[in-house]
Amino acid sequence: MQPIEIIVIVACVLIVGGVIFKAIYDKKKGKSSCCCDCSKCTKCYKKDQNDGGENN
Amino acid sequence: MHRFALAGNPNSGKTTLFNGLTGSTAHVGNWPGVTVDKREGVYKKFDEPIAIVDLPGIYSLSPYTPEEVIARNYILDEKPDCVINIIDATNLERNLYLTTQLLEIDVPMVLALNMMDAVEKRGDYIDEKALENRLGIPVVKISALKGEGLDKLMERAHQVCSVIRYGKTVIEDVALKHLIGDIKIALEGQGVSNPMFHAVKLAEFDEIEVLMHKDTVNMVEAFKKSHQYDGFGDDFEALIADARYKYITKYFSPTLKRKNKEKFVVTPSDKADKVLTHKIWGIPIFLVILFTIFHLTFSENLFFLGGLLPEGWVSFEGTAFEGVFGAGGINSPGVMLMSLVEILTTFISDGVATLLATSPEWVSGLICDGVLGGIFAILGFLPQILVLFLFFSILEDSGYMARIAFILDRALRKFGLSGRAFLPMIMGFGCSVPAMINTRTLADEKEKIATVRVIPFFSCGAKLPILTAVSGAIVGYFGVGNVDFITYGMYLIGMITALVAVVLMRETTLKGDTPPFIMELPAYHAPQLWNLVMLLWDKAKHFIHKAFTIILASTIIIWVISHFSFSWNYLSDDLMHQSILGGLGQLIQPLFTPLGFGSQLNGMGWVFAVAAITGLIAKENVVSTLGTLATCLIGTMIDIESDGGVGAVSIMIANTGITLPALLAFIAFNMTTIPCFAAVAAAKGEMPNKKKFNWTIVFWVITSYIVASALYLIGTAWWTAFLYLAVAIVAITIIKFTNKKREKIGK
Amino acid sequence: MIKTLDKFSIGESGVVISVSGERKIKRRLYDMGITNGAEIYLRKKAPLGDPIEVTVRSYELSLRNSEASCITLEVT
Repeated sequence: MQPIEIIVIVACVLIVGGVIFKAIYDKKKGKSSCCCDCSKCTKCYKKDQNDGGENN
Repeated sequence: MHRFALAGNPNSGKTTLFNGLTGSTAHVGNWPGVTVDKREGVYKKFDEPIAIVDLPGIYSLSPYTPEEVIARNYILDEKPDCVINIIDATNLERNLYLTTQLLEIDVPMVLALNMMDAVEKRGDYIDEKALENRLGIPVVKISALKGEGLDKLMERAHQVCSVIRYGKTVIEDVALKHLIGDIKIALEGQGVSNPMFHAVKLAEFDEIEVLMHKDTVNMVEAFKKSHQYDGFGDDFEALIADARYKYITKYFSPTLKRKNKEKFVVTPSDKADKVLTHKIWGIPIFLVILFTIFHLTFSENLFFLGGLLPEGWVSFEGTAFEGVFGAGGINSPGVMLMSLVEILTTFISDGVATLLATSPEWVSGLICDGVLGGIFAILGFLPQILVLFLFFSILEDSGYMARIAFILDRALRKFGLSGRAFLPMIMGFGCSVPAMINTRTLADEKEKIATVRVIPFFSCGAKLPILTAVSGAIVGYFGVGNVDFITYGMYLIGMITALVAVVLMRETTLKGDTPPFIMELPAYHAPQLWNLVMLLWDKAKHFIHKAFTIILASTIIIWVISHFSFSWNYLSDDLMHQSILGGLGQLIQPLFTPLGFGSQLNGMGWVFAVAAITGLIAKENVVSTLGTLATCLIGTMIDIESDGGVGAVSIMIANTGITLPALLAFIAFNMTTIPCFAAVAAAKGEMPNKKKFNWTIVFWVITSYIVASALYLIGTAWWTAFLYLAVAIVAITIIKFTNKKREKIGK
Repeated sequence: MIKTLDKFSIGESGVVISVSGERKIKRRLYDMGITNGAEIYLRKKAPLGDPIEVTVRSYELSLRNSEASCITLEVT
């Protein structure tokens, strides 16, 4: 196998594995896989279900 | 570590203050409805860090809404070391109403007089020393927006946080005062903390209190029998609310010295509203503004000047910038930026292709076709996503959106919604997740569920590539229509579907009363430029992050499973239909036949089905999957000018023979079907139980099938419209019939 | 003259005499400052006349006609 092949395979495994693990890790921590607009998304930590909303 | 809680009215600038103290960047919308959870941060300017909790914005501590209950319980049960009560100084009286209630709790307090810059601009003046004396707690002038006075505020808060403060009430009436005093003593005897607060609430006959302290209720009832108050009868809630305002007007209002003694001033805001909320022109103006936004984002024929300009003038033919500024017509800013990005991506992909020319086939295949083909298919849309987002943020920030809710309320009421439901829906144009969270402002649960379910129909930023790529391909390949018209039309179909769906839900499973509408309309103000820039930057960052993680991983996986057979043999591009992905794709392909992109397609038809499925992870994946698979095809067939996402779709059209109606159906399907996992999780969080959530999923599947199939079938054979009409009539009749029966049983 | 808020025209103002209606709504109205003695000025009406926007205690508030009908005022 050529060196470039090895590099590409390793990179792919790292990327795909990393993304999947991060998703599982976030879920374990109770984070909702966050939204498109993280400045609004302070809901990442689903601690208590009775949180109401707030108008600022 | 000390803990300070921020409490105040909605729109008092609390979140701005929170950001100023804790240093985080958060979006500040200025119409009611931008809900943010209890947020925590840390103030680091002292030696010892202080935890800051941002409580929900509330008007009072009565248990009318979940926000009020949360704030109330937090202060009573979690016992913060100090409560910082933030006041909008331009609305002194109404804001102080909450203050009088907070003062009844045994907790150290500080008053932050915010928006002092607005007060001073009017030429008014507030004597904070006098206010401080009369309130009995420190008063600090601040401008959260400008970041002034924050340190002084924290210093004074820190000074008082270790000093015990006992709750006091502003009720002056002698008899009432005695009653409250008696209740207080009784509660103290029982070891209840915050006795003053509970005593007053009991006198108000507050629901929570009555339940918690059943024995003391007798005292109140006995009092009521022996004391009558003019104009209030036995409504002590009204009596006490009135007493609070009387006190405020008598002792606190005088600390505000007005320059302009005139009571009701017509502000520039009102003048603007005369036009924008006009009886007749209000809604048409809104639709025009909306169309203009789409026009500036998607149009390839800006202001329809195309026909007027000489050939070749705008297109910079022959140069490297060919086509950027227009071809046939002038490009809108959105499209110009997209073209620029595409020049860059083409340059990069050509470069990489040359670099990898000597590598094994699968390496260049994976990287050039798979990764670059997929990512560059959506990267071109980033400018347009940002432009659209920019316009919507301006509408939001300026206060215009609240006006629209105001105008639409009457119309929406016929559909069982209040104008307030409109605001979370519009947020859906940015991202469904914060929009769904925002539905918490809707006190009525059934209205909330209905709203959450239709939010995905307001196509979010991630769906924009789908709409634009397919519209662009339609215009380019079939030569009909304009990109901005088609996109506008599809967005409208999404909104109409939402309305129809809500009506149906409100007539059937979510039947209920029309919720109240009482809502604040803040004055118009120019959006903060810095705010907007930060917002856009945030969104761009998030998009790039998403593209190079989730989407990147998805393109790799897609390419791999489309180039290997089930027995793990490597397959070249032209054999993709034999791959794992091809096999799976052809398996589910028939499901989409009624929608026009199923078994009726030739060649690689299964790609559309697969692309839609990958959308579950992230809606951007729909186009990136098409991009990956289409780029693989280029080497094996007619060379269509590859223009990012639009090019990818064009290639697929040529390869599969998909028709125009089916393409529209494809857009509609993706617009209305199950949203990405993040949104699904958010929806689940807002549903009261699992049953409602499961039905939500079913709802999405059914709706997407109905809408997409309607577009395809009616588009292909117009007479099928009658079929749909017939089914609709039957359904409506059944619903009306069952409702009548239900009413009869109810009686 | 005494009438309910929903019967006011744009530009009219009055002083609140009483607030009636369902408890939830009444409480909301109190919280927003609509108590006996408060001055209300009718600023705008939406297309079709409903909802309306009023000025009370120096800020703007929008109400439906059904909610406004719970507020009785003496016209000034």
